[in-house]
Amino acid sequence: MDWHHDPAAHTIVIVAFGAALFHLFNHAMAKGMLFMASGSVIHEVHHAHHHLHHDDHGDDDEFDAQSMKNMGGLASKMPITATAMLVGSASIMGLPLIGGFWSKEGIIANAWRVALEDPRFFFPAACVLLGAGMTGFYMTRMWVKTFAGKPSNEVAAHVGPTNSWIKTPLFILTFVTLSSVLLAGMGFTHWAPDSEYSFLSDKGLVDGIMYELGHAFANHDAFFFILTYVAIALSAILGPFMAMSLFGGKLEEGEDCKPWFKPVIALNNWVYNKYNWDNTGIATSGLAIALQNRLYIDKYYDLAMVKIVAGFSNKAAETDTKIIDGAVKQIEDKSQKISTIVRSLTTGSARDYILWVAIGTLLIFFFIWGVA
Amino acid sequence: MQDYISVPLVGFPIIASLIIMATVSNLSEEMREKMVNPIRWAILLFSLGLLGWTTAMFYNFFVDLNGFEGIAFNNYEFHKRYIWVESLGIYWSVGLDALSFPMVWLTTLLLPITIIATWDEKNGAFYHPLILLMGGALIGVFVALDLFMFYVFWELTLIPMFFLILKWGGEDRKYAAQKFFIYTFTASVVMLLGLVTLYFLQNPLDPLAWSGTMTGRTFDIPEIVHYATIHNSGGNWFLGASMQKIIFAMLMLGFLVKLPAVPFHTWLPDAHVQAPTGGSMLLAGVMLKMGAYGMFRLPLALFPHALEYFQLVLMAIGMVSLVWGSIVCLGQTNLKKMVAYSSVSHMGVICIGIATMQPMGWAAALFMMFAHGIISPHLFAVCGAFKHHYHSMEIGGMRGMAKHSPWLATSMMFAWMASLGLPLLAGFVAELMVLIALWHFLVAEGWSVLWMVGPALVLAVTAAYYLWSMQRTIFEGGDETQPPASMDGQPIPDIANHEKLAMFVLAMLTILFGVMPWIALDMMNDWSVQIFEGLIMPILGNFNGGV
Repeated sequence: MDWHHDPAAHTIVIVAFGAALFHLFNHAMAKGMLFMASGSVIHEVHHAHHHLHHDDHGDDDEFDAQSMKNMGGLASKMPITATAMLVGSASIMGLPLIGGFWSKEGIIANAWRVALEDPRFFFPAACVLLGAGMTGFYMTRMWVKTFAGKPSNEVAAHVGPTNSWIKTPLFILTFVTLSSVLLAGMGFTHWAPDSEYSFLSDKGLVDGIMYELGHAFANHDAFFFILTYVAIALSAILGPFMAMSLFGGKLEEGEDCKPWFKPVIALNNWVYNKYNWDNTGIATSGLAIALQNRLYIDKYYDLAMVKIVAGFSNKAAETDTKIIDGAVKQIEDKSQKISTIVRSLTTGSARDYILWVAIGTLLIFFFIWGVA
Repeated sequence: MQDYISVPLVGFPIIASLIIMATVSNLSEEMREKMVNPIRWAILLFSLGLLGWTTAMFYNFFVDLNGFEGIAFNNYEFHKRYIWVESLGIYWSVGLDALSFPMVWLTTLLLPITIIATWDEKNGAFYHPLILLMGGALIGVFVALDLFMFYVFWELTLIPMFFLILKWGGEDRKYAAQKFFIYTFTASVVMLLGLVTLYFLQNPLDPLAWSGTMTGRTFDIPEIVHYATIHNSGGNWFLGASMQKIIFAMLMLGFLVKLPAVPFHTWLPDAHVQAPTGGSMLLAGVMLKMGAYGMFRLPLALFPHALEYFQLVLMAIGMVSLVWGSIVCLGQTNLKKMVAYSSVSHMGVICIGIATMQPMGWAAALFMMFAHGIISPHLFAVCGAFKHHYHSMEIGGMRGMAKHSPWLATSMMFAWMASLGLPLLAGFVAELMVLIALWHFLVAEGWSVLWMVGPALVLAVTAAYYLWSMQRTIFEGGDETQPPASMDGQPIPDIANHEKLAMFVLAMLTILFGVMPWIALDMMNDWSVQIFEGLIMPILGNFNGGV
């Protein structure tokens, strides 16, 4: 397919732009919220750690306030943060109707639409689906490891609620993420006009929402109908299921949480108890260790920088001093030696000088004679 | 026209500083100490007066001249010529154009700043007059419009700098002072031979020859340039092709050593490391620019054919200086030596700018001279502060100094960023312009695009050595700062108020000329276009370019 000249190809590109732009917006809201919420968690864990160990302020402190290993069961202690994190995770995962679902679904559908037209794009389209499933896994893992289950240590058990300065933006971002459906209804996926309708134009809000819902969940095209449910199955069912079977679980006895966490934690507990399995084999495999070390790219990059660039520049500096400046010093040294020899002719003895004068006079005579 | 240059800018600083030093040397040790304060105040006020004087020149206080713009090629503002040795054609001839004025202004700017930055240098009753003498001699070089006078001032600048290094320098100052003196002196003797040859080869029988003297020859630069331009036209080479090339090479040797360009650069790191802070500031800020100034003033104006002939060599020298200087920087452990080598790298940029033979490249080289003249004194003031307060400039010897010396760290960060070419600071403008001019030149003349590899590599390496040195001195360490061993556990001071003031002024000017480069750039650009259209285009008619 000729991407530059075939007008049929252009519509695909334009619609995908709309979905991608909408995804930028959703991602900004959800990821901003996730960073803020995780900052709030880290802050409180750090605080709890200091509170518990206020007498040893030593620098040999090995405690890592950012490690999820030091968390767990925080849903009852930080309700606002946990809610924000839950909504943000759901949005990033593409859980139906929430935030990123609207744009992500559009991107997946368009990726496959392109792949159907042009088989070279089958690989990226498959990667998008794989990525959706993995996102479902790691976002769920993050949430249940941090907020569900039992506190993993004494510090996690003493974490307090976050302060109101963080709560306010968290609340706003949660609200925007949840109201993404309204934005979708306004045609946010149609920034650039396409064949069906454009941003804020023909359809009203309700019509728009109905259209988007129908488009997403009851697509007329059998392929896209199935694709939607495959994507949902991967990102909202299989991924989270895998994560819940490995991490999290019931809260500590006597800990109470907000009602909207209860189904999540109950589901987690049920999956965890029923399907828990031993993943040590995978976790200690070579691939997992290589991934932990970022495929050793940083390591070899550092090595190359230190060994090659720094090594070369040290050699260059040495060359500059020894060879370029060395040549100058050689000239200096040799000219001093020559001057010492020449100086020795200055004996201070009148007889020597008379001899030189005589030689000089003779030479002048010879030259004049020769020229004449 | 009135003489606005000779007495206030050149004569008075030199004579006054000589009188002060002569007087002080007859005083007792005790009286000398007492006189330090009045002397440095007097010199500070006087040098501020000089700055005011040159600024007034720029803002048309004396003569209405549209900020040095629109002066035709080989015409000079504030031009004044007195007969010195009439029979030989030697004149006391001074004048300013857009090439020399920024340098003169820069010198008058750096004088008070250097004096403030090194306010309590030891033996101040001699130190501060010597700085003033240095300033007078430097201004003399830039305003001289007579070869003889030019050479006299060229050598005169060596003397105060020699004593600054010898008397106020570091451990190895004797070696450095002698090396500096002999190295640059040898090169300028070759240049002198070139100048004398240029004088003797003028043909007195030529109807166009200078008729004002007995010998029919002259040292007067405007006259020689005029004479040369006529003889260069119509495909002829002034003085003949081979002689033009020889004199060009002789003059360029003197200028390239002063610039300095690789491989004639090794005097610079030694001189800088041993020089006192004030000496380094003037050395890097103004003295190096004498080389670039000389290139513009003489070889470029007199020998455009030879410049075209040696263009590849000049470009190669510039490229090697640029790349080699920055790579060697990365391998340095001494902060001041690193900064000195970075000057070599920046001077390579100027060399490339000249070698492009494009008006934009020349304007960029002129602006680089100016921008580096503001930034490098800042760099050396920071190095001097390290030496003064921590008695150490070993990059690896200290850690996390930002914690104890936030002012020093801030100044260092600013100066380092300015020098590595951060956008909106003065250095960036010049570097970007050189790159654009180089690109235009390569495309227009059909040279290999591979010439761009050097500058591209250097952009990364320069950022690397500046950031890395900063990380290893003022950052890295958090709570655990590691003061240099030379501190011996004493409390760690921050920089003094007078140093803060000097660095602050330099920083503000760096921002000013980064955000509003046209204040200086307009006249430089105008000058470059004038010389390109008045000289290069008529003479080398087939030359491509003209950005």
